[in-house]
Amino acid sequence: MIAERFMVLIIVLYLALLFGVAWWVQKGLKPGSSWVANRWIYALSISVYCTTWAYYGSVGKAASDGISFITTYLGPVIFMPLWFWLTSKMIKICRQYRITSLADFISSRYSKSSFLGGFVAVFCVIVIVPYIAIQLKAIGTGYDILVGNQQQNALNISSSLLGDSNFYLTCILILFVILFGTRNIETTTKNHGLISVVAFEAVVKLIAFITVGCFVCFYVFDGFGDLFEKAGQRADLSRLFTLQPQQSNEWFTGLALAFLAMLFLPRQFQTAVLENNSIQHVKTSTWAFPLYLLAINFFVLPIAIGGKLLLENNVDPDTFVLTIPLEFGNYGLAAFSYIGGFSASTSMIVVSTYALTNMTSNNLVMPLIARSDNKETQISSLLLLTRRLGVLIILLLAYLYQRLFADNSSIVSTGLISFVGVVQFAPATLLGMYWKDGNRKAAIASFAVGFTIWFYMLIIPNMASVGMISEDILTNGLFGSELLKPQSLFGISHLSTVTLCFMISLSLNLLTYLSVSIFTAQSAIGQQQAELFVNVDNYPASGDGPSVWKGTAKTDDLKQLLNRVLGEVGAANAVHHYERIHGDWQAGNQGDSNRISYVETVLAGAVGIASARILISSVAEEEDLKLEDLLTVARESKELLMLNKQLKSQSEVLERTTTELTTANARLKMLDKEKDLFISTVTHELRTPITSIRSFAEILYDNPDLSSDEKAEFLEIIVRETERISRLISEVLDLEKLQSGTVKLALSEESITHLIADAVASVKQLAIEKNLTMVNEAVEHDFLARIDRDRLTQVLINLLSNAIKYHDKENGVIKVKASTEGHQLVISVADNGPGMEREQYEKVFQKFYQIRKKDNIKDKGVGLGLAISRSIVDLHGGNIKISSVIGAGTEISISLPTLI
Amino acid sequence: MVKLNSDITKPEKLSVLIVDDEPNILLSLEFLMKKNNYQVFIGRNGKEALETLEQHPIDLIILDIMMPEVDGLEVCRRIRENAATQSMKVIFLSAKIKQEEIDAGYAAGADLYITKPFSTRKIMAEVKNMLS
Repeated sequence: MIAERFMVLIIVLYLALLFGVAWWVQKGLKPGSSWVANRWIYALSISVYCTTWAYYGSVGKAASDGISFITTYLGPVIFMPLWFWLTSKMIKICRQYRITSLADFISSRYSKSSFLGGFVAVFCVIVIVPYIAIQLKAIGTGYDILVGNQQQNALNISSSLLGDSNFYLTCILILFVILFGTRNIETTTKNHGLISVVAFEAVVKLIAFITVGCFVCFYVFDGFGDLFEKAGQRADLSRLFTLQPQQSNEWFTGLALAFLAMLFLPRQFQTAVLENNSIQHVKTSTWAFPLYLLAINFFVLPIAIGGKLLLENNVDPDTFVLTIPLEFGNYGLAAFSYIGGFSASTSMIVVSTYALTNMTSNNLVMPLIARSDNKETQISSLLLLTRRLGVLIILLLAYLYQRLFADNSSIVSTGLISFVGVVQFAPATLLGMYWKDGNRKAAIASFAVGFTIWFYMLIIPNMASVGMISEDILTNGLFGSELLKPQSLFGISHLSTVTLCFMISLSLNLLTYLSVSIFTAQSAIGQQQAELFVNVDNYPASGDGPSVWKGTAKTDDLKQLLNRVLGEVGAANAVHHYERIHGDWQAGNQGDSNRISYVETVLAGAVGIASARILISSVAEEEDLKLEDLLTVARESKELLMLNKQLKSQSEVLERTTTELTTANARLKMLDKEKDLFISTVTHELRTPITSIRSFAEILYDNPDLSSDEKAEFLEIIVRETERISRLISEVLDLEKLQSGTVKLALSEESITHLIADAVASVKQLAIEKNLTMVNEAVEHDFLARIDRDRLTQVLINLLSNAIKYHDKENGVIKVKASTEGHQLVISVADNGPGMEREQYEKVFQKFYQIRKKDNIKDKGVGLGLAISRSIVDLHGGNIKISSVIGAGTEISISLPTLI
Repeated sequence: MVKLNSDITKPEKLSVLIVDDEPNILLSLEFLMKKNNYQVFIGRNGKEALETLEQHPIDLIILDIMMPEVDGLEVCRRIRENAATQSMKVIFLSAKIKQEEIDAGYAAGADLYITKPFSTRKIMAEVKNMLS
């Protein structure tokens, strides 16, 4: 047994930790966003579905009924895709119309009926308070077990209030929810502090349970094999892990029940729908949540069987997670396990209370306040007060329930009763999202029918068993009729009461809803709301686009209303947001439906749809909205969406064009630079011959008594230089033509051999002058090709004259060759001259580049020869290559694809 | 390094060194200098120019700038650095005509910067002026 002081310390420390987490998250919040708003926290917060039912109760149920405990968790898992679909739509609706709770949702859908909202709120309280009570009880019982109190009369009615540790716990929880749940007037703002605590506790309870599971399986026993083998030896245990065929009915309803409950439990609606930050997170949860469920349920059966094997028969299986560690003296694990259960229970309590108090304040109390409104009261503070009172009352009710009734109910059975209760909301809510004809009267009728049956079949027996009413009704049925016995209505007794109740209540509920909807008419506002809900995708978020209000209201009145409900700061923010989208707050006439609709939505975020409506109608004159008006809005908003899409695609096109323009601009700039360089180089090249011409012309003029030799020499220079200028100009023009693509090759079939021979002949003289030998090796085989004869001759002559020009050795040889490589014709000119550096291979093709010869004599050429040659070769579709060895020689080869 | 028609026996003749990689310029300027009774030395690049400077006292040098090996600016700087040749007259003769290039020439220490194409008459007038 663990010392009481130690247990108290642990609990207090853990509570402090939870407060700390909530406070720290709240503190670190940047307005508008928070790291807490991520998909993993979301998925963890949904697992508030697992309460002490999962932690303690499942083990108990497994110990008595075997695998069938899993239906509560298998249900949601199997229907996950459906859950995703439904939840996404619910989220969309809630976000768009600023819905604050399940009661709000139903009330809003059905003509914004405050009656319906209030009814749902009250019913939720009735259904959930026992469930909360059960959680409290579990904490108390667990505590007693750990410190060694006698369990039997643990909850003596006569024991004092102050001596009851659960009372203190309840107070602390009241404090927690008030601190972290009732700060904001606008309940549509996400409550990150609360949710982060829930997620944190989800992790704690998972780890704790798994730790206990591992302890049982791998420490006490030697693994699963050992455990199940030992269990198989006992008949009462071996049936636990085999499926019982006669339970199939129970199974199916169990699955469906669990799934529907998961949608409609107030705490689930709160975490999965209202606190959701992004639809993407829902997608992640469709696999993450089942994974969590798998993890937490994995060890349930092993622990149940282990407990049965290890402990006395009179030990309550619900408590195995605590009693097994205690049996082995492992107090640390027991305490940790207790904290896990503590987490499971407190997270349920906190979220449920939060959800319930929002419901009651917005849908029960606020409408009353709004109706009796005297236009002066500061509603904001009244609202907060209502919520805090709500927390207080709900938790105290739960505490009382726990004191009075709890020891008679098991966790699982109470849980199931709550499940069947919330499931009554299912037909009206789900069909309400997809079927426009469902109307308010049908909803009310269906709830009435469903709850009556629920109450009769599940609550009455409980009341009878604690002695609140006579047991007569159980044995004899209502009005003495056998068929109307609560626990076996209509004479069906082979199913469990819960299953039976579920089936009967749900079917009658559904039937009522459908028939009343078909046979009754819907009000104008009912139609409006139905349209808005069912076709939520067609409409913009309220206040952000074309609106659906019709009527007039004074702007000042609206502003004052905002002040009263949201306070000065909140009202200013609301106005500011409005002005960002619609322009000046004061502009427009009183019939400006945008403004009125916007204010109604903003108020709804704080006080709920129904109350908002009441408040608005106190300052506005509303006219009946016709369906056509709504459809106009739908059409307008669709057009907006389409325009938006068009805009997007156009801006993409624009972006692409801009990129293209930028690239083109860059290219143009580069070409411009090239042109500048070209011009400066050409003019520079012109300067030299002009200088010579001028100098010698002046000399000739100024010196008439020159010798005739000198005169001849100088005149010759002048002539030569003018030739040089001409050559420069024509080569420049030629190159320009070639590179600009205005030249068309005059192609003809030519004999390459002849071509080469002619070219060699024309440079022969030059070679002889320089003592060089020309060797034409292109004579053995004749190649035919489609080429431009003149141009190619130009190229060959250029290559040959370069070879001659740059040769400086004795015994210089220049060889010309022609050959084929595949489909290419290759002509090469090779010399055994000085060779050239690798860096120069590319440079020589540049305009005006000339290699400096050893004796530094500038030659007659301009430096454009190779550039021109390359252009000509390129036009033929070929390429030109250089290879060289310093000191040994150079080979330039042209390859052309025009072989015939 | 090539000396053409050097007349070493008449030391009263002033000597001019012409440096350019363009043969025509060398030819025309040499003709003009000789006609005006100057002793002429030529160089085809900066290296040859420096070699000549080491061997002969020169009174005026006409320098092209764009030359291989050692360019005209570098030659001019060396001339100015060397105490023996500090007072030599330096004329740049260049096709580089941009203002910053002209400024660079003067910054290197030139006495005059003439752009190509040039007037033979002008250049002779300047030379005579500087050497009188």
